[in-house]
Amino acid sequence: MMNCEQVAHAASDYLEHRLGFSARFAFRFHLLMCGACRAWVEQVRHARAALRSLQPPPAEAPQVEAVLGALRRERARGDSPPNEP
Amino acid sequence: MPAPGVEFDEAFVARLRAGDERAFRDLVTALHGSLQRLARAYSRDDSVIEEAVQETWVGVFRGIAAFEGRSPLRSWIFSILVNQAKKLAVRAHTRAQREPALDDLAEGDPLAGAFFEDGHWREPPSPWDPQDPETAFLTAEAQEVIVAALESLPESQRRVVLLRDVEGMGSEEVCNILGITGTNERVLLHRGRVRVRQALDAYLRGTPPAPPAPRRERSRTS
Repeated sequence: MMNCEQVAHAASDYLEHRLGFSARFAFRFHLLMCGACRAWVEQVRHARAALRSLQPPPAEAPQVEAVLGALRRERARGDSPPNEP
Repeated sequence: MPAPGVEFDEAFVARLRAGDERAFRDLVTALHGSLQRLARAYSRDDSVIEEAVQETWVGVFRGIAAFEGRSPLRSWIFSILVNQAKKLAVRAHTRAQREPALDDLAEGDPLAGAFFEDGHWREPPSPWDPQDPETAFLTAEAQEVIVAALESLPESQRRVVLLRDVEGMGSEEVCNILGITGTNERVLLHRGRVRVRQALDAYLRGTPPAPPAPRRERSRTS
Protein backbone atom coordinates (compact mmCIF):
# COMPACT_ATOMS: atom_id res chain seq x y z
CA MET A 1 0.00 0.00 0.00
CA MET A 2 1.12 3.54 -0.70
CA ASN A 3 0.08 6.51 1.38
CA CYS A 4 -0.62 10.05 0.14
CA GLU A 5 2.92 11.22 0.81
CA GLN A 6 4.44 8.41 -1.22
CA VAL A 7 1.98 8.96 -4.05
CA ALA A 8 2.67 12.71 -4.07
CA HIS A 9 6.40 12.09 -4.38
CA ALA A 10 6.02 9.42 -7.04
CA ALA A 11 3.65 11.37 -9.30
CA SER A 12 6.26 12.32 -11.92
CA ASP A 13 7.69 8.81 -11.96
CA TYR A 14 4.16 7.56 -12.57
CA LEU A 15 3.59 10.06 -15.38
CA GLU A 16 6.94 9.16 -16.95
CA HIS A 17 6.16 5.42 -16.73
CA ARG A 18 9.12 4.90 -14.42
CA LEU A 19 7.34 2.87 -11.74
CA GLY A 20 7.75 -0.88 -11.71
CA PHE A 21 4.76 -3.15 -11.97
CA SER A 22 3.97 -3.49 -8.27
CA ALA A 23 4.60 0.20 -7.49
CA ARG A 24 2.37 1.17 -10.38
CA PHE A 25 -0.34 -1.12 -9.12
CA ALA A 26 -0.10 0.31 -5.58
CA PHE A 27 -0.12 3.84 -6.99
CA ARG A 28 -3.27 3.27 -9.05
CA PHE A 29 -4.96 1.45 -6.21
CA HIS A 30 -4.37 4.47 -3.98
CA LEU A 31 -5.77 6.81 -6.64
CA LEU A 32 -8.96 4.74 -6.80
CA MET A 33 -9.60 5.50 -3.15
CA CYS A 34 -8.20 9.02 -2.78
CA GLY A 35 -9.71 12.05 -4.50
CA ALA A 36 -7.03 14.41 -3.19
CA CYS A 37 -4.26 12.37 -4.79
CA ARG A 38 -6.24 12.06 -8.03
CA ALA A 39 -6.43 15.85 -8.12
CA TRP A 40 -2.73 16.05 -7.32
CA VAL A 41 -1.61 13.75 -10.11
CA GLU A 42 -3.86 15.51 -12.61
CA GLN A 43 -2.41 18.87 -11.58
CA VAL A 44 1.18 17.69 -11.89
CA ARG A 45 0.27 16.39 -15.33
CA HIS A 46 -1.20 19.78 -16.22
CA ALA A 47 1.93 21.52 -14.93
CA ARG A 48 4.01 19.35 -17.25
CA ALA A 49 1.69 20.20 -20.16
CA ALA A 50 1.90 23.91 -19.30
CA LEU A 51 5.70 23.76 -19.37
CA ARG A 52 5.62 21.91 -22.68
CA SER A 53 3.44 24.65 -24.13
CA LEU A 54 6.08 27.35 -23.61
CA GLN A 55 7.62 28.71 -26.77
CA PRO A 56 11.35 29.42 -26.91
CA PRO A 57 12.07 33.10 -26.36
CA PRO A 58 12.54 34.61 -29.81
CA ALA A 59 16.07 35.51 -30.81
CA GLU A 60 16.30 39.21 -31.53
CA ALA A 61 17.65 40.17 -34.94
CA PRO A 62 20.61 42.19 -33.58
CA GLN A 63 21.67 39.22 -31.47
CA VAL A 64 21.54 36.89 -34.45
CA GLU A 65 23.57 39.38 -36.50
CA ALA A 66 26.12 39.68 -33.70
CA VAL A 67 26.59 35.92 -33.63
CA LEU A 68 26.89 35.67 -37.40
CA GLY A 69 29.40 38.52 -37.36
CA ALA A 70 31.49 36.66 -34.81
CA LEU A 71 31.33 33.52 -36.94
CA ARG A 72 32.45 35.45 -40.01
CA ARG A 73 35.43 36.79 -38.08
CA GLU A 74 36.14 33.27 -36.92
CA ARG A 75 36.03 32.04 -40.49
CA ALA A 76 38.28 34.85 -41.69
CA ARG A 77 40.92 33.72 -39.21
CA GLY A 78 41.01 30.16 -40.48
CA ASP A 79 39.72 28.13 -43.33
CA SER A 80 36.11 27.20 -43.41
CA PRO A 81 34.91 24.93 -42.05
CA PRO A 82 37.65 25.36 -39.51
CA ASN A 83 38.28 21.87 -38.26
CA GLU A 84 38.75 20.24 -41.61
CA PRO A 85 42.27 19.15 -42.49
CA MET B 1 9.72 22.44 -27.21
CA PRO B 2 11.77 21.76 -30.34
CA ALA B 3 12.69 24.79 -32.38
CA PRO B 4 9.95 25.47 -34.89
CA GLY B 5 10.55 25.47 -38.59
CA VAL B 6 14.02 23.96 -38.67
CA GLU B 7 14.64 20.28 -39.19
CA PHE B 8 17.96 19.35 -37.64
CA ASP B 9 18.53 16.37 -39.90
CA GLU B 10 21.66 15.06 -41.56
CA ALA B 11 21.21 17.27 -44.58
CA PHE B 12 21.08 20.30 -42.30
CA VAL B 13 24.26 19.21 -40.49
CA ALA B 14 25.94 18.74 -43.86
CA ARG B 15 25.07 22.33 -44.78
CA LEU B 16 26.56 23.52 -41.50
CA ARG B 17 29.73 21.55 -42.19
CA ALA B 18 29.96 23.13 -45.60
CA GLY B 19 29.85 26.56 -43.95
CA ASP B 20 26.41 27.47 -45.35
CA GLU B 21 25.64 30.80 -43.72
CA ARG B 22 21.88 30.44 -44.19
CA ALA B 23 21.98 27.22 -42.22
CA PHE B 24 23.91 28.92 -39.42
CA ARG B 25 21.43 31.77 -39.45
CA ASP B 26 18.52 29.33 -39.13
CA LEU B 27 20.29 27.48 -36.35
CA VAL B 28 21.10 30.62 -34.37
CA THR B 29 17.60 32.00 -34.85
CA ALA B 30 16.08 28.73 -33.66
CA LEU B 31 18.25 28.11 -30.61
CA HIS B 32 19.69 31.41 -29.37
CA GLY B 33 16.76 32.14 -27.06
CA SER B 34 16.74 28.62 -25.62
CA LEU B 35 20.49 28.80 -24.97
CA GLN B 36 20.14 32.12 -23.16
CA ARG B 37 17.34 30.69 -21.07
CA LEU B 38 19.45 27.72 -20.03
CA ALA B 39 22.50 29.92 -19.41
CA ARG B 40 20.40 31.96 -16.97
CA ALA B 41 20.12 28.81 -14.87
CA TYR B 42 23.88 29.05 -14.28
CA SER B 43 24.40 32.74 -13.68
CA ARG B 44 22.42 35.88 -13.07
CA ASP B 45 25.15 38.01 -14.56
CA ASP B 46 24.07 39.21 -18.01
CA SER B 47 27.62 39.50 -19.27
CA VAL B 48 28.35 35.90 -18.23
CA ILE B 49 25.17 34.72 -19.93
CA GLU B 50 25.96 36.54 -23.17
CA GLU B 51 29.56 35.34 -23.21
CA ALA B 52 28.52 31.73 -22.57
CA VAL B 53 26.09 31.82 -25.49
CA GLN B 54 28.56 33.57 -27.82
CA GLU B 55 31.30 31.09 -26.94
CA THR B 56 28.86 28.27 -27.54
CA TRP B 57 28.25 29.45 -31.10
CA VAL B 58 31.95 29.79 -31.74
CA GLY B 59 32.37 26.26 -30.34
CA VAL B 60 29.65 24.97 -32.64
CA PHE B 61 31.30 26.63 -35.63
CA ARG B 62 34.72 25.24 -34.76
CA GLY B 63 33.47 21.79 -33.83
CA ILE B 64 30.86 21.09 -36.47
CA ALA B 65 33.38 19.42 -38.82
CA ALA B 66 34.22 16.92 -36.09
CA PHE B 67 30.60 16.45 -34.96
CA GLU B 68 29.83 12.80 -35.56
CA GLY B 69 26.13 12.83 -34.93
CA ARG B 70 26.31 10.30 -32.11
CA SER B 71 24.03 12.59 -30.13
CA PRO B 72 21.38 14.82 -31.70
CA LEU B 73 22.65 18.20 -32.90
CA ARG B 74 20.57 20.06 -30.32
CA SER B 75 21.95 17.92 -27.47
CA TRP B 76 25.49 18.53 -28.63
CA ILE B 77 24.94 22.29 -28.71
CA PHE B 78 23.32 22.35 -25.27
CA SER B 79 26.28 20.34 -23.92
CA ILE B 80 28.68 22.96 -25.24
CA LEU B 81 26.61 25.66 -23.56
CA VAL B 82 26.58 23.84 -20.23
CA ASN B 83 30.36 23.47 -20.32
CA GLN B 84 30.83 27.13 -21.18
CA ALA B 85 28.33 28.31 -18.60
CA LYS B 86 29.90 26.23 -15.82
CA LYS B 87 33.35 27.48 -16.71
CA LEU B 88 32.33 31.12 -16.87
CA ALA B 89 30.18 30.91 -13.75
CA VAL B 90 33.13 29.53 -11.80
CA ARG B 91 35.35 32.26 -13.14
CA ALA B 92 32.80 34.90 -12.21
CA HIS B 93 32.56 33.44 -8.71
CA THR B 94 28.86 32.94 -9.06
CA ARG B 95 27.25 29.79 -7.82
CA ALA B 96 28.40 26.93 -10.02
CA GLN B 97 26.67 23.64 -10.44
CA ARG B 98 28.08 20.78 -8.46
CA GLU B 99 27.15 17.15 -8.36
CA PRO B 100 25.09 16.13 -6.47
CA ALA B 101 22.67 18.70 -7.74
CA LEU B 102 20.50 18.34 -4.66
CA ASP B 103 22.52 21.20 -3.21
CA ASP B 104 19.34 23.07 -2.50
CA LEU B 105 17.95 20.33 -0.29
CA ALA B 106 16.82 22.70 2.41
CA GLU B 107 14.84 24.97 0.12
CA GLY B 108 14.51 22.37 -2.58
CA ASP B 109 11.67 20.11 -1.54
CA PRO B 110 8.36 21.87 -2.10
CA LEU B 111 6.57 18.98 -0.38
CA ALA B 112 8.48 19.33 2.89
CA GLY B 113 5.97 19.67 5.71
CA ALA B 114 2.96 18.95 3.49
CA PHE B 115 2.02 15.73 5.31
CA PHE B 116 1.10 14.46 8.75
CA GLU B 117 3.30 11.80 10.24
CA ASP B 118 0.94 9.09 9.04
CA GLY B 119 1.44 10.23 5.42
CA HIS B 120 -1.91 12.03 4.97
CA TRP B 121 -2.13 15.48 3.39
CA ARG B 122 -2.22 18.38 5.83
CA GLU B 123 -4.09 20.35 3.19
CA PRO B 124 -5.51 17.92 0.64
CA PRO B 125 -5.41 19.23 -2.92
CA SER B 126 -8.81 19.82 -4.47
CA PRO B 127 -9.62 19.69 -8.18
CA TRP B 128 -9.13 22.82 -10.26
CA ASP B 129 -12.21 24.65 -11.34
CA PRO B 130 -11.87 24.74 -15.09
CA GLN B 131 -12.41 21.29 -16.47
CA ASP B 132 -9.92 22.07 -19.18
CA PRO B 133 -7.08 23.94 -17.49
CA GLU B 134 -4.74 23.40 -20.40
CA THR B 135 -6.85 25.78 -22.47
CA ALA B 136 -6.83 28.25 -19.59
CA PHE B 137 -3.02 28.06 -19.54
CA LEU B 138 -2.70 29.25 -23.13
CA THR B 139 -3.68 32.84 -22.33
CA ALA B 140 -0.89 35.42 -22.30
CA GLU B 141 -1.52 36.03 -18.60
CA ALA B 142 -1.19 32.34 -17.74
CA GLN B 143 1.93 32.00 -19.86
CA GLU B 144 3.49 34.80 -17.83
CA VAL B 145 2.63 32.92 -14.65
CA ILE B 146 4.28 29.78 -16.01
CA VAL B 147 7.42 31.66 -17.09
CA ALA B 148 7.62 33.40 -13.71
CA ALA B 149 7.26 30.07 -11.91
CA LEU B 150 9.98 28.56 -14.07
CA GLU B 151 12.34 31.46 -13.46
CA SER B 152 11.83 31.31 -9.72
CA LEU B 153 12.88 27.65 -9.51
CA PRO B 154 16.19 26.86 -7.82
CA GLU B 155 18.80 26.66 -10.58
CA SER B 156 19.37 22.90 -10.44
CA GLN B 157 15.63 22.26 -10.76
CA ARG B 158 15.28 24.86 -13.50
CA ARG B 159 17.97 23.23 -15.66
CA VAL B 160 16.26 19.85 -15.53
CA VAL B 161 12.74 21.22 -16.05
CA LEU B 162 13.92 23.38 -18.95
CA LEU B 163 15.52 20.50 -20.80
CA ARG B 164 13.02 17.76 -19.94
CA ASP B 165 9.68 19.56 -20.14
CA VAL B 166 10.21 22.84 -21.99
CA GLU B 167 12.70 21.54 -24.57
CA GLY B 168 11.16 18.08 -24.57
CA MET B 169 14.33 16.03 -24.27
CA GLY B 170 14.61 12.49 -22.91
CA SER B 171 15.89 11.60 -19.48
CA GLU B 172 19.16 10.03 -20.58
CA GLU B 173 19.91 12.88 -22.96
CA VAL B 174 19.38 15.41 -20.17
CA CYS B 175 21.57 13.49 -17.70
CA ASN B 176 24.36 13.51 -20.28
CA ILE B 177 24.03 17.21 -21.02
CA LEU B 178 23.90 18.28 -17.38
CA GLY B 179 26.28 15.64 -16.05
CA ILE B 180 23.89 14.45 -13.34
CA THR B 181 22.69 11.02 -12.28
CA GLY B 182 19.31 9.61 -13.22
CA THR B 183 18.25 9.73 -9.58
CA ASN B 184 18.97 13.43 -9.34
CA GLU B 185 17.23 14.07 -12.61
CA ARG B 186 14.05 12.38 -11.35
CA VAL B 187 14.03 14.23 -8.04
CA LEU B 188 14.83 17.64 -9.52
CA LEU B 189 12.26 17.24 -12.31
CA HIS B 190 9.51 16.37 -9.88
CA ARG B 191 10.36 19.15 -7.46
CA GLY B 192 10.38 21.67 -10.28
CA ARG B 193 7.02 20.48 -11.58
CA VAL B 194 5.53 20.59 -8.09
CA ARG B 195 6.56 24.23 -7.74
CA VAL B 196 5.08 25.10 -11.11
CA ARG B 197 1.91 23.24 -10.08
CA GLN B 198 1.80 25.38 -6.91
CA ALA B 199 2.06 28.56 -8.96
CA LEU B 200 -0.72 27.40 -11.31
CA ASP B 201 -2.86 26.41 -8.32
CA ALA B 202 -2.49 29.87 -6.82
CA TYR B 203 -3.21 31.47 -10.21
CA LEU B 204 -6.40 29.46 -10.80
CA ARG B 205 -7.64 30.10 -7.28
CA GLY B 206 -6.84 33.78 -7.55
CA THR B 207 -4.48 33.79 -4.60
CA PRO B 208 -1.06 35.36 -4.91
CA PRO B 209 1.67 32.72 -5.02
CA ALA B 210 3.97 32.41 -2.05
CA PRO B 211 6.75 34.86 -2.85
CA PRO B 212 9.93 33.08 -3.91
CA ALA B 213 13.33 34.34 -2.93
CA PRO B 214 14.09 37.54 -4.85
CA ARG B 215 15.42 36.72 -8.28
CA ARG B 216 16.52 38.51 -11.39
CA GLU B 217 14.37 41.50 -12.11
CA ARG B 218 12.33 40.39 -15.10
CA SER B 219 9.21 42.39 -14.51
CA ARG B 220 8.18 44.88 -17.12
CA THR B 221 5.13 46.02 -15.23
CA SER B 222 6.94 48.37 -12.89
